[in-house]
Amino acid sequence: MLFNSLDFAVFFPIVFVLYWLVSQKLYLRNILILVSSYVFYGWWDWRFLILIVISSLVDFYVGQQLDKTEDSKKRKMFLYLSLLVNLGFLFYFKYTNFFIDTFVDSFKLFGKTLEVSTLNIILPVGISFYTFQTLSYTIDIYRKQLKPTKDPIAFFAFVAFFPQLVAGPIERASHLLPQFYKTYKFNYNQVKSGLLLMAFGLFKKMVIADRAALYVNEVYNNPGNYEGVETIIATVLFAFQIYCDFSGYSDIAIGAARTMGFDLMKNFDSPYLSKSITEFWRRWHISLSTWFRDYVYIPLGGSRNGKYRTYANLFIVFLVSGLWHGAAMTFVIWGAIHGLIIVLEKATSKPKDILFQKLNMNKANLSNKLVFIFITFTIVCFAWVFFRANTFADAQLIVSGFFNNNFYELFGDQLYLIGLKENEFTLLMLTILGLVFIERFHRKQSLFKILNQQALPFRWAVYVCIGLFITLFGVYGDTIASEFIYFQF
Amino acid sequence: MFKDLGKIILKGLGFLVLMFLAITLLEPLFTESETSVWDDFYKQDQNSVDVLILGNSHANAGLDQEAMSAKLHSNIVSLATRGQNIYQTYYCALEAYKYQTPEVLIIENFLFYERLTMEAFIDQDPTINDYMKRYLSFEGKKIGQVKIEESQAFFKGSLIENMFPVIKKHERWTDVDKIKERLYSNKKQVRQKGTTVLSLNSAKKYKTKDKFDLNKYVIHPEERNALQQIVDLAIEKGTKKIILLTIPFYKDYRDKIDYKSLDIPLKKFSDNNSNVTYIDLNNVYPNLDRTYFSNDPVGFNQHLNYKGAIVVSNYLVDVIEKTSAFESKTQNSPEYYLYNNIKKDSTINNSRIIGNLERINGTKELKYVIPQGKSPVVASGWMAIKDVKSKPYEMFIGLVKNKNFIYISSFSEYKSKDRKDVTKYFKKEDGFYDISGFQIKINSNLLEKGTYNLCMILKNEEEILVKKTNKFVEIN
Repeated sequence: MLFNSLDFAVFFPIVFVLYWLVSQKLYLRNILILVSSYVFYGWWDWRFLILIVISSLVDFYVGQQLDKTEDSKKRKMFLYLSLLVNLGFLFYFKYTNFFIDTFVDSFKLFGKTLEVSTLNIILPVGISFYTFQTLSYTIDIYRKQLKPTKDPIAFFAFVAFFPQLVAGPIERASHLLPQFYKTYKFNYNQVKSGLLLMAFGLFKKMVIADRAALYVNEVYNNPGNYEGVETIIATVLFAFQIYCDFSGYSDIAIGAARTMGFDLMKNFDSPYLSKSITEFWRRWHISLSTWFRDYVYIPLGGSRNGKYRTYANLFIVFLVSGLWHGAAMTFVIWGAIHGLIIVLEKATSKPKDILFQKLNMNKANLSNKLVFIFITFTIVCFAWVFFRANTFADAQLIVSGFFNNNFYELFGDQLYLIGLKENEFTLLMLTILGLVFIERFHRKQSLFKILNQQALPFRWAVYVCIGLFITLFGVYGDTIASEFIYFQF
Repeated sequence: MFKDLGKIILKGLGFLVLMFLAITLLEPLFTESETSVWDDFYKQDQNSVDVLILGNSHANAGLDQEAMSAKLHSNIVSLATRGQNIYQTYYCALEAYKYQTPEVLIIENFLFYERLTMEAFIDQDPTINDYMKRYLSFEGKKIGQVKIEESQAFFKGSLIENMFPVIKKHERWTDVDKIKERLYSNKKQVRQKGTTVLSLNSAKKYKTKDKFDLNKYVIHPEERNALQQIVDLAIEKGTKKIILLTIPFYKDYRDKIDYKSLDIPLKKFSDNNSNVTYIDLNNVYPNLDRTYFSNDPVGFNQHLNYKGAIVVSNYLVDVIEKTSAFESKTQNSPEYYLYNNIKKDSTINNSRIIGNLERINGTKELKYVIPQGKSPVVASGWMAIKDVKSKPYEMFIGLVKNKNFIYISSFSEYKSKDRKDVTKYFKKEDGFYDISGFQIKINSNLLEKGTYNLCMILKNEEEILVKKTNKFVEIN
């Protein structure tokens, strides 16, 4: 079920009301969450619910067994069982064809052609997300950082919790699971702020992301037809499209959970205002970055084995992160670019500091900040080319197109022939500016609090205006497939 | 807790109500058509409609509703919309009979022109113009069971999207000029009739063409079924007379198509349904020349122009009058004054129309002779309401030949003229009658041969004022 669908508009109020009616009966409440989460997921394809159930069963069992034994061999065996089942599903459904293709292509390098056909496999929605979430449970128990739950319903509900089931935030068991052990009192303000956050997420998704997609899709699906300023704009718009798409989803997920008393972790923190790629990854898809930090980077040795090993570990983490996003070389390249820049940033951080000191430059100075933000954003956009392009060859076309000078198009009507009419294009620009302003302002002062202090008619006028704004200016209906981008991961 | 939950549910419902109101308020800016036939329909008092017309543009162009109402002293309402087919008409009938039980139901047979099965109609490409036409009879309907059923039958996608134009066609906000135009228009219905005449060139093409692409009128079983359901509904609700009406086609078209493919099944249908009378006006008026038809593309539409509509409507009135009697109803239309020869200026209050039809085709003669089609009738002068400052009124002239042919000019035939001299003559100030001048130009092909008495007609918001003059035009 999509958050931006009428199905969800009916589903959510029903679940919300039922949830609060049974909220003080913990067992019943968790059953309700579980059933509604399975309905939410099964709405797309009920057959794949089996995967979630198997993952949940295996990890619940592994958790119990890990708690029972101190034998390190047995403990390792149980951990491997969890890894095998969860990563096995992930690899089979997501990477089988990728590895077959890569295998066949590698033979081509030696002049040999293999006749191997790929399999017709459907990628289950959200498999990368819930697999990582449930893995965190068994790994944390194995590390003795978490006690296993004895309540299977709470655990199953934790794995399948519908607000964040298919696109995160990827929650840690230590943070989310305990929330299934307690009841919540209805908090009017919390519910209200959750609903407003959901509305803001819908605005980002439907008004900005889906509108930007009309332009971006046209250029990226026909890269040979566009060049220069057209491809640059498409790439910048894609940066906002993916941000609004994914952070919009996270906002709706966090908001929906909040209305039910749950607290999900923050997933984005104005990432495009970062002054370095390192900072960008502290602000972008935070739940995934920290997951990789805790379960890949640190087990690899983190920064404990000298600087070269640290660089290698960082690079590996980003390669894996690229592969997590999609089973294609373009995603691996995207990860490699980020890994490479982060290694470079780390390697040059001291010389840079010395240089700044010698030049008497203050990093905190506004103009310097703006320059760093601009450089970081440019690098991020460059990397997005590989993320968005359908093939590596398309990405090459887009990048080579950047260098064709046709800036004169900025002053004509040419740009309005690419998926968006002039009015649509102007609205998109205005809403992006509005978004930047709102997020900047909101970081300093909660807009929700400010709104709450206003008189009732004003507040209601704002609510209705938000509703109408999304209704009128959202992109929906038959014109675009408005699935969330991160569903495919 | 339950109190707080109740509070949020109540507020949620409040929000939905406000959103619904706001969306309803914005609806007219996003609909397919600026005005809906349903606006007029819902204004009628319950069970006050005597004659209901169902059909499409063929019925709209071919029937002069005002003339019929005036002559029958009855309330006639039409639900005909451009491009409507019988499947849509079925839902129009369902909705209409919720509120009205007309004595007479007229179903115009051009409804079968689309030659579509229900499945083909549902599967039409949403981007084509024909697809858009289905909104015209749908959008203005009140939300209720019929609209929901129609939405589910004809429109794919979600119910809520289809029910609200603001949601369904929200992308239209990009057409800012159109939105502005709709925002500032006060939605007054300006009198417009078919004032074009089939050109000589088109008439020649009709003559020389061997046959037309769409030469067969297939009536599918599903279409017949829809028609039957309409008839059954009408009879069940108490309609006494149902007329299956075919408005005339241009002769050189009718002779070159398989006209019997439409005629025979309709005749058969009428024979099987005792309450249904089949009237094919092609038999009554087999030789209407090009001056009775609008200047549509050759082979399409077969729309009568205003002249054709006057002739056909007057005949239909005679047919209805023979079998149906209605409770006499006063009306507020120029036709009501002229067809019933009413002496008073206004039926609403005691306002008086003043003015002078000064010139016909530039001369002050009382009677002016114009050879048909050679030159237009150009009437000029001024008109105003006595002692009321002139506003941009709608001004018309009526040309009365006899009780079966009265032509009333359209808004498109009118031009405003500055008349400061009138203000001065009446010793008024503030440009009192400055905008009282008019010039009305009518294609003489739109008038039948004969002598016409001219009248001045002024429309002031809801009030209509009529004044006869001593000027005559002879068309020969």
